[in-house]
Amino acid sequence: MITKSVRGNRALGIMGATILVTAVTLTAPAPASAADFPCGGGASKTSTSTTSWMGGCQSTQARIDRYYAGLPRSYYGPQAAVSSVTASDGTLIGNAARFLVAGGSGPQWSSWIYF
Amino acid sequence: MVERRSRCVEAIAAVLLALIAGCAACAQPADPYDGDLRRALSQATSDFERQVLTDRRITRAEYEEAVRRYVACMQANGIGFEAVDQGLGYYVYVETPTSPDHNTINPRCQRGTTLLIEPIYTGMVTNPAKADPRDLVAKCLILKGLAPEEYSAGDLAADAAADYRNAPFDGDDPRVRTCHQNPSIN
Repeated sequence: MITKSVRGNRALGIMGATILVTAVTLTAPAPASAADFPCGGGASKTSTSTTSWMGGCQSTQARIDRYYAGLPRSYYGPQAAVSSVTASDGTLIGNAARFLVAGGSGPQWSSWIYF
Repeated sequence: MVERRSRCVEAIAAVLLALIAGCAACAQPADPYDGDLRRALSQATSDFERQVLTDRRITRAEYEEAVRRYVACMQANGIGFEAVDQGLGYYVYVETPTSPDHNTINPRCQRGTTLLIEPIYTGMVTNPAKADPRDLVAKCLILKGLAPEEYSAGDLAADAAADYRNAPFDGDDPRVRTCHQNPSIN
């Protein structure tokens, strides 16, 4: 009986963990504020597009993630002073941008910043 | 007679001054992207980049070769990745499915292929005079009748900060999106 209860608790734990992982996977990362963009760069979004501006960085790249035909799909704009990308298939997962920052060992990309 | 000579000397001096001023202007780089091209050449990490950038110009064929090398590298590393021509003068990229390895592989593949070449080429295509990009977009929106005549780069910045919720246009309108993606095409 005790064994059954432990097994039951384990099963519930696994189910809970599975639900949590699924929820985290399907939810876009927390939005960033304007202050989170490096070198005075910026970004704007709509439900079908992302545009980013490099500010004082060396370049930027816009990204929009969508869920289409059962798969997550990412669209990337060009690396540019102003990067813009549009996509309207499926449903929106999130909008993001990253920024190329000059560094001692050459330019380095920031991580993708979801906003 | 003396007065006539004096006028003649003044005229010659004026012409010489104009020529000198003209030569000074000639010495300035005519290409607004010249500085970017020089910096990119100094940061080049591959023979391909050096070969492209040495003459301080990027042709369409050279840009396309950079994109081809980048995409081939991504695909060789198992990423479902392709370049798409949307008729904007440059390529965008689609990744299906979104790969958890993107952030590891992508910088390796961009290095030596598109990292330095693509931003300059895209700039030359979308903003050849290297004007204020927001000003260009604002003018594009006015030209297409999507924003009022007085709409400015500052208005666009404010509207962008609010994700176009209060903008005089629909941010999802394809014409608006085209103005953002390449304000230099009509």
